[in-house]
Amino acid sequence: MSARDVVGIERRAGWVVATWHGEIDMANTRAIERYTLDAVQNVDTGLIVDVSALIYMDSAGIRSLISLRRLLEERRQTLRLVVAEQSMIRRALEIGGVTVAVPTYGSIDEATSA
Amino acid sequence: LRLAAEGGRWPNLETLATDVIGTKKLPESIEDDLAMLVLRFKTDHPSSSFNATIHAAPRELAPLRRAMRKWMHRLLVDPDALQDVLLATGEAVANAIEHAYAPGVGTVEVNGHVGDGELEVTIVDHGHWREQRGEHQGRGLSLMSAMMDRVRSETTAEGTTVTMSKTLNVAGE
Repeated sequence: MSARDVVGIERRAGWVVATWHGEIDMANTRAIERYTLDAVQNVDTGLIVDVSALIYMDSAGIRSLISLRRLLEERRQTLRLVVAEQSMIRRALEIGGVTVAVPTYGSIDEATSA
Repeated sequence: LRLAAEGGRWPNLETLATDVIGTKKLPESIEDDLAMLVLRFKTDHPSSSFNATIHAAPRELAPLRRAMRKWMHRLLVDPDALQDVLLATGEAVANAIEHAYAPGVGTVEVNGHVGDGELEVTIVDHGHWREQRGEHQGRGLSLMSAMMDRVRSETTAEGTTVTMSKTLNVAGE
């Protein structure tokens, strides 16, 4: 599967919202990270990545999120993360330290209005 | 004969055969030899063991997860534990792919076993680990130990074996 098949991109209230689907591991994480970042233009406030629908994400995916935050910061843009309460990967994100490193919300609406 | 066999329960195949043949329902005039074939259909018992050998390549990770999910589903491992084992195994295999071999060579063996309320996974590579790369490596390892109850790793001249286990809830809970 190419990144295009697993990443959904839309725009909301000045934000780019990327929804990641399926599974993320070291085989596809770089392509997904690049595809997602390419969707963000200079005029956008920042990027919201919704990972709630993922059924698997390992430390390679966590690395990508941290790297996205850094790359956006360099462009004076912000990364926000959406992880629904019942998400299958929530625990991995918490243990991997992502929910501390990246502002995390329970829904896209919360993330855009915060 | 069919009527004699229908609806009955027998402790084993021999008693079934003797009982059915012994019923007086057989016509007196049977002249041919009578042979009876009794078959037992084994109920499909889920295997408590899992074995896979994969190429040490990132594209092998997703098919390995599919196979392991299937195996754990059949054993009624609860969804949270299943996810934990999947992630811990994925991290261990990813480490072997990244560190044990030059790109594109080598294999990684993954063995799983469930018994006595414990699920154990071993990940075996036959490579020589290159220098570990600090932060990245650390995140994978901390995920592994958070997902499993016990994690140990042993490196010899022949390679590295990671053994991890997790205590399972009783099936169906």
